[in-house]
Amino acid sequence: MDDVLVRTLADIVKVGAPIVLAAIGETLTERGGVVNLALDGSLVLSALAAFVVGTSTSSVIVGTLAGISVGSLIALIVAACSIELRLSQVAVGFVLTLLCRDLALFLGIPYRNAQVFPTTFLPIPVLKDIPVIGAIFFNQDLFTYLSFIAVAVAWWWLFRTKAGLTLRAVGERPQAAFARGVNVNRIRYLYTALGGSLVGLGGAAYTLGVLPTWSDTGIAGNGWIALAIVIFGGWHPLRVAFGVYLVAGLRTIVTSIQAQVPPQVVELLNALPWLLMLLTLFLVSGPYLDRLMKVLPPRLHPPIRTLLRARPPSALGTVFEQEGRS
Amino acid sequence: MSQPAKFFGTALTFSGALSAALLLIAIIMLSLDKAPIAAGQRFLEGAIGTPSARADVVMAALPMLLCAAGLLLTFTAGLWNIGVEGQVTMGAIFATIIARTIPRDVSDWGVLAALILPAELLLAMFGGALWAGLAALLKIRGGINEIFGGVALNFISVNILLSLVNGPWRVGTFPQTAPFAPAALLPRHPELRLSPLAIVIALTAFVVVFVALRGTRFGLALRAIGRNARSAGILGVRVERNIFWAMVACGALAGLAGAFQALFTRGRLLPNISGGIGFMGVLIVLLVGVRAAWVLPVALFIATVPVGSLKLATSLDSSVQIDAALGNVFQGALVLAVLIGSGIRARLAARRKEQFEHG
Amino acid sequence: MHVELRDITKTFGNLRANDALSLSFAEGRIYALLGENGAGKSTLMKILSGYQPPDSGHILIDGQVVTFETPADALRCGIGMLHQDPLDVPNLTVLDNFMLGRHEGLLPKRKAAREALEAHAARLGFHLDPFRYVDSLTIGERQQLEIVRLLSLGARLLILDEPTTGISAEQKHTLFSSLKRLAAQEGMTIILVSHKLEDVAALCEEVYVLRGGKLVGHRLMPTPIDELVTLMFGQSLPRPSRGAHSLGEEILCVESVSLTARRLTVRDLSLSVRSGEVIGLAGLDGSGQSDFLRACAGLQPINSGQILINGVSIRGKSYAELLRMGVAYAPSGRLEEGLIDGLTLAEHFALARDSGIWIKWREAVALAARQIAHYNIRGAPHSPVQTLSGGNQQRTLIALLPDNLRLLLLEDPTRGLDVESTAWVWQQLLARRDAGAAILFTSPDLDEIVTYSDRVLVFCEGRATLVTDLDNLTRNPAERLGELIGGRSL
Repeated sequence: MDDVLVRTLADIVKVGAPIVLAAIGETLTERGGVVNLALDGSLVLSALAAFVVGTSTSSVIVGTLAGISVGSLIALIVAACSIELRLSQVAVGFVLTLLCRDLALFLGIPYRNAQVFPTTFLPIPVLKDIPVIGAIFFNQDLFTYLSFIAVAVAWWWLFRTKAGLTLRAVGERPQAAFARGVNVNRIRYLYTALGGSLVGLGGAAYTLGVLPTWSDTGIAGNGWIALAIVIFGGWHPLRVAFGVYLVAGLRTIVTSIQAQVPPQVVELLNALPWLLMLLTLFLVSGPYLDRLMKVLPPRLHPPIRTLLRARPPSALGTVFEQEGRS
Repeated sequence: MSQPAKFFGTALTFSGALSAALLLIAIIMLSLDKAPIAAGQRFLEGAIGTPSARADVVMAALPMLLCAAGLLLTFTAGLWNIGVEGQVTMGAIFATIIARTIPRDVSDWGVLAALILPAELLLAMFGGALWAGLAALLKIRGGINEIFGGVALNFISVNILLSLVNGPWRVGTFPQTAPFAPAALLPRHPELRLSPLAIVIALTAFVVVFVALRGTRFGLALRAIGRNARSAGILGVRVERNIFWAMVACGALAGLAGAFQALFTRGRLLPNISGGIGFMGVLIVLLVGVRAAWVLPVALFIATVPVGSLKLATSLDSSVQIDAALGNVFQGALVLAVLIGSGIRARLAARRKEQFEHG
Repeated sequence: MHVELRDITKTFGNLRANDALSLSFAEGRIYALLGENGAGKSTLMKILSGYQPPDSGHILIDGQVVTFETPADALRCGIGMLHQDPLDVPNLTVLDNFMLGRHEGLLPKRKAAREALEAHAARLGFHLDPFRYVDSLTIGERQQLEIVRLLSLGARLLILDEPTTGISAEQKHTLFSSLKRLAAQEGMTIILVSHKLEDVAALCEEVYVLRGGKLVGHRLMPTPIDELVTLMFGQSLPRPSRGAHSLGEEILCVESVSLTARRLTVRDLSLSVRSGEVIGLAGLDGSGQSDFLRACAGLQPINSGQILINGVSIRGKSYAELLRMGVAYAPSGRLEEGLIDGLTLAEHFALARDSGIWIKWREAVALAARQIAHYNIRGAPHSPVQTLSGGNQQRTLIALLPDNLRLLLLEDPTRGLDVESTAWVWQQLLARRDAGAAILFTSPDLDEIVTYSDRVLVFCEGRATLVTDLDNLTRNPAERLGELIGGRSL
């Protein structure tokens, strides 16, 4: 295959890694019925935390752990406000996302483009020499590998394990899960925190991997992209990853032709990912998919539902209360 | 609960939340070796100490007031119009379509000169309404949640704005238009940075929204939809139509706010023209909850923050000099604290009621 | 396993839902827990199955006192509950639902689970496709899945809450014979919670009757139906009659309509309804009867054909427009769906009746006051609607219906109501009919359909069949309808 193409694909996979991590984290959170709208601010703040701790300790691992802690802490605030105080997840998440972003922009002033963190480039021996595949997937940094692992494990966990089945049930019909002996709110705390740590990992992936420095413009906004891709990806890890790479691909193409086209066109092309998502969602979540289903034989329904599902987990954003107790 | 007790509880929640937010800011400042008390004094002086500072606060409050007024409509109907930022941006862009073509000298335009401003403002309202209407259609026809649709349209509006100021509308080295001619701007008070016309427009808009919510069928229908859309439909409310018009009205007001930003605050079109005022409108509405009348004082209060923190940022005294971004942190922390405080209050009240029933 | 409830008391606010109830259930016997709505049956069964703790009293299993924190605790002790609306996860497959809650390690053994599912189903005579999504099953099939699941988890006492609502006669037959076999051959204890006396007579060996939270009777079957009725209500109720009334001009005309329901398409539906007529729509849940009602209200599109109301086609008209033409639709079930929490009575009347730009508050308050007096509602024009009692909320809903109604479309209008409230609602509805309105209603309760309908439209497998000679049917008409909705021809 063409060298430029391989390099572009490798680039897409790398640039997409933080968004993949964040979007997979949000997928797990939302599958349990909690929407962490603080994702964008959370991503920025954890990126700063990872960078500050990472540079001061000169350790990728400690820096990454700092990012993860910040991400899960913010997610836990959302969960606690919803579960203990019955506040709207959307309201708390929205305020938190602004607060965290502003806090990061303020606290990050002394670190603006201060230094570059030594990248964690980690080619995998043997595998990296596989033609094409090796260059794209196995000649990357630590965070890119983690993003692959996150997608695969999330898929396996959700659809192949007992715990994943429980998680899906909690997000679809918590009352039914409760009747089967599941502690609904504990599961929700757990997966909100887990999702938040993946968001934090995504933040660390920016400042310790992709960028790799602190910048107050390169990160904010990607959290919203991740949130949108969770919907676009139908709460399915593989489709979510596909969505991220699609968006990252569009962006990479725009960047690569930047020099040849006038700036006003570049700016308009940057809107493409959003247009694409709006259009797709319009087609799959409106009445059009139902109409398509009615024409097709029932045997095809389950696979199409998996492929094109655009319905959120039924209990998303709701509070679970056990009746007769408080 | 009795009325005075309720008021006392609300006051307690707010003052508690305010103290918590101030405490957070003080801790941040202390950790950066700044003097919080002195900075607080400097902040107050900078925000409300002089007539010109007070004028700045009023002018900063107007676009927020417009956005908050529009958002009262959508929030009443249970719609999270996060797209308000994009609607502000589109308002500014649409106002610029006319504003950038107005020459410095319009003395020979006669009556036409008097039409410039109304035309700009109307076009801005149309731009905001268009963007909001789009989000509403995506929701009604495509089943796309208004939060997601709004976020997407926000980003797209920014792309359009950047495309314009980097391309056809760019004048000079920076990505921005030339300063608009005086005839294109909102008329200014001779001494203060204040536009009486803008004040009149914003207050009128707020009063109209207030009255619409209290006394019209539209307002009652929005309340019904926000609380139970299905029941509202059964009672004969045209749910989708009302949702559409609530969004469009909010968009028009947000567009007007965008015009204020372009035609007064900045005097030209440039990137980040909205300056986040749409989101500040959301914060204001979250702060006041359903108490529409409170939007006015809260908008003024919130507007002191950017004005005062700008004065701090430009201060020469290094013990109080601090970046204006801290002001945003304060706003966010305050709203979060108020949300949590009212959540705790509601839980305590529910628990008391339960104990009463079982006891 | 012998289960005993001793002195169970549970209060909600001022309401004593269970008042020192003591009941005992022996192994291998089938019990009925009988009582009208609000008698305390559901509360008691929720306590027995671990959903709610009692305020006082004990549960004993084989003489040992047990306490349940969760329904899972109860199931571990062998007590399983089948809810009226099966408590499963609709967006998962049958197999996933079966596996959920089984005690296994991290990796589920799908093959073993599938074999267990099929073995248990076969033992009961049920047929369940493990790979179907649960939301494509009928209520009857979902019940079967739940029973299979509870048995596989070791339930020794099975509580069934109103299990025959919304299932066909055939499914009911299968269910009852399986339950009898389970009790007789495997020593299971069965508790049937119901207010349907014919089900009790067909299945049960012993009956406990509750009234107002108290145990008022314990009988061995067979016991005369009249005696049970007297126990349930304190007196025998006369069977309500439809009363004679005259038919007027045609109001609704449906011409070879085809419409798509959740799982199937109903084709070639034609119907003509005249003023003063009551049409019951019978069918299994999801057979298209609710969709037909919604289509008549302009809330759902039809594929072909046309619907005329007062001779005018409703194509392209919204519900709000039809409302102005005298058509009212009330959605499924609890009549509360139609009231708005947080709005006052006057605001409801302003919303439902006023149509200008400005709200004339004085008129709205006056109208509310008039209706409050007329319908005997306990509340004031400025009372928020959620502060009214359930009965007064129902009255409010009826009071909100516009005057001069031509066509009333009602989905299960008396769901969850006790006998007295049901009678009141029908009294109001029939008054509307006598004033010239036509009524179409659905109900899973075939007795209700037989009692109030002049004609019945039976929905089954994509066809709608009109039954006109209800009074001439020699056999029990409800039983006949039960066979029809299950797919047997006349």
